[in-house]
Amino acid sequence: MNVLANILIDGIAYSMVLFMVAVGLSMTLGLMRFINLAHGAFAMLGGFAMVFLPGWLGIRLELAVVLSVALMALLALPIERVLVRPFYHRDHLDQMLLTIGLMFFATAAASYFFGPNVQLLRLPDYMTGSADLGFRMLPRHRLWVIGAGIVVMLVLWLTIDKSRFGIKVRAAVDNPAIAQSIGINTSLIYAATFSLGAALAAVGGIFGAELMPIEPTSASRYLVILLAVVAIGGYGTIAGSFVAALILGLAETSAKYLLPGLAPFVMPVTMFVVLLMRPKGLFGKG
Amino acid sequence: MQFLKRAAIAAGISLLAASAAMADTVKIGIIAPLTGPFAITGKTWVNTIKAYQKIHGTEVGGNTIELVWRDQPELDPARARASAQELIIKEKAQYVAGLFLSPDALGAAEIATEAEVPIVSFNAATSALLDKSEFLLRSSFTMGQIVNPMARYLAEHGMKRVVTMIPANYASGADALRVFVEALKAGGGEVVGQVEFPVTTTDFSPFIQTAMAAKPDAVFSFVPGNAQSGTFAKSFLENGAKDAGIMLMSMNGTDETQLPIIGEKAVGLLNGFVYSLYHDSELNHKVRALLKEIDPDAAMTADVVGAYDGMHILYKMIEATGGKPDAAKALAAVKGMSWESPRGPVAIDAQTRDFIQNVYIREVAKLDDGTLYNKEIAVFEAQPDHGRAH
Repeated sequence: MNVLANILIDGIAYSMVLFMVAVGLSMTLGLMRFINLAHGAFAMLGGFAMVFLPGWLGIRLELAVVLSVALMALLALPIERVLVRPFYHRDHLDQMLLTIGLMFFATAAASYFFGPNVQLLRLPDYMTGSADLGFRMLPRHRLWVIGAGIVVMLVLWLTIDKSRFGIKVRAAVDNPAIAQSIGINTSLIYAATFSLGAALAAVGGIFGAELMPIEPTSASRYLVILLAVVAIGGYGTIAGSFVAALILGLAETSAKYLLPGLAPFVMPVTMFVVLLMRPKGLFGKG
Repeated sequence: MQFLKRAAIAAGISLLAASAAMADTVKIGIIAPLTGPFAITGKTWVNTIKAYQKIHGTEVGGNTIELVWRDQPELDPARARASAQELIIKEKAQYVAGLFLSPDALGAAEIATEAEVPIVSFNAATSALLDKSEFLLRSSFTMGQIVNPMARYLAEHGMKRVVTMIPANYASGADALRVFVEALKAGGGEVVGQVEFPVTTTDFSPFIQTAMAAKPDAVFSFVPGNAQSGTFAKSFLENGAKDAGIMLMSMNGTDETQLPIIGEKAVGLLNGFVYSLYHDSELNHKVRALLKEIDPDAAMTADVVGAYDGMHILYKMIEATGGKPDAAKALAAVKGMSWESPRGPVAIDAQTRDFIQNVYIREVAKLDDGTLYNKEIAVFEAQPDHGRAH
């Protein structure tokens, strides 16, 4: 009984961390059909911004979170304009080569400027420490991540699936020529979506840092986890990533409690089984 | 007159020539991670050797010491071997030193026997190293060396029921565990649970909850790599293990680089190690001050003492052989030698060549300015390598 409760609590908490770090990637991949392997680099750089901004500017941690995320959204704009845009209509391998290059570049730059060590990313005090659940303690951070995960999912669902912006994005992707001819500014839509992806990466980097600490190679270190969540969910669907993160998180956590020796195999096996049955992922279309 | 003058000049020249011949240059080849993920260690070695030479000079017995560096950016035993070979054959290095990672040191080890050149590893931590060649020496610690005192400390202080937490399928972790369990049992303790986690784990909560369910007095842990070791200790605290009265005795989870990440609740947690930058001795303070002078950002880690004591061993060998290549004589001179290191008293065992040193049990504590550090609370003196079958 106790173990079951533990699996649920730790599993859901872990799932939400997975969801937060992967959702931005799923969005750019699905909406723009652009493979952005530099997603982890935005997460890493967003994390570094969060590490250093509070000290440099002497601002509150909450404000620093907002600034770090905004900074990544801004940084994404020139990168999109100069490097990424010429690659929208190239094949996926070219896109991967470009973005993996960007990722290595970001890692080397971060290592040069900030050194190779793990950085201390401070969150406000009310997000750290333990929360007493009665029968056990839980890192309070996880409660916030669970809350943040649900909020991000709702906001994105409303923005992408329910708003005019979302309709325009999908129109711009599905048929750029017609979208342009009816007056949709497709360049602007693409830039905004890429920038939103980078902002989400930063959010994931900052709130995921408890489990995936910020250091230069964190840009690539957790890429496989991100891609697994996206592949299982089916790219482009926010709900898909959410469900995929829950499945992976709960499956892996169950294994850690019940069959710890098998825990490393849970993620690849889950991915294998899901993709065997649904090659486009759980919620993938077409 | 003219004749005398010429004779004097000739005598002068030959005297100069003679003294030049006496004052040879002795080359030490150093294989170090100067670039790549461990570059910080390479930098620390460079700085520490500068500090060592500020104290002991750049000459030994009239011979000038010349350092020849070779970069070893990442794990690559074949490259380490090739570098050692090149240093000895092309550069005519009389000694080879450095060698950060164990497999690299083992890769270079065969060359030591073939070329009869002493090799001193500043860092390699595997117990298997010294058995590989009689010309090998180390200024590093081994896992077995430090976990045995850690187990004895727990047993002696009433923390007899222990859960061990180490990565699954991780060779050096398994070696450390074997030595730890033996020492704990010998001290009257028992292992009430063995938790193994995948080395890639990011979320430790489930494993820590499993360990807590066994209601131990203490958890012994080893988490390799510095990315995740602080995360482990943090997770240990936030899952309430310490509040439940369970002590954490970790190998590297609470070192000074991790403490800011873990936070104040880490105060009181235990670990065992051979060196602390806060070690209170005149020599340690002196070396620290020199390093600060050389590089204000210098990191004070175990890399410092590895390089410092490694240089000391090399200097003593060069002194004993008068700068001539004679590996047997060099080895004989340092076997059984003892000296003071910034880490405390150290020695080379006359028979086994083990690097004998103190192991300190440290407790996380807070300085007046709020800095968290490891305070030495118990000393296990002159420890051999408990992980090596002697």
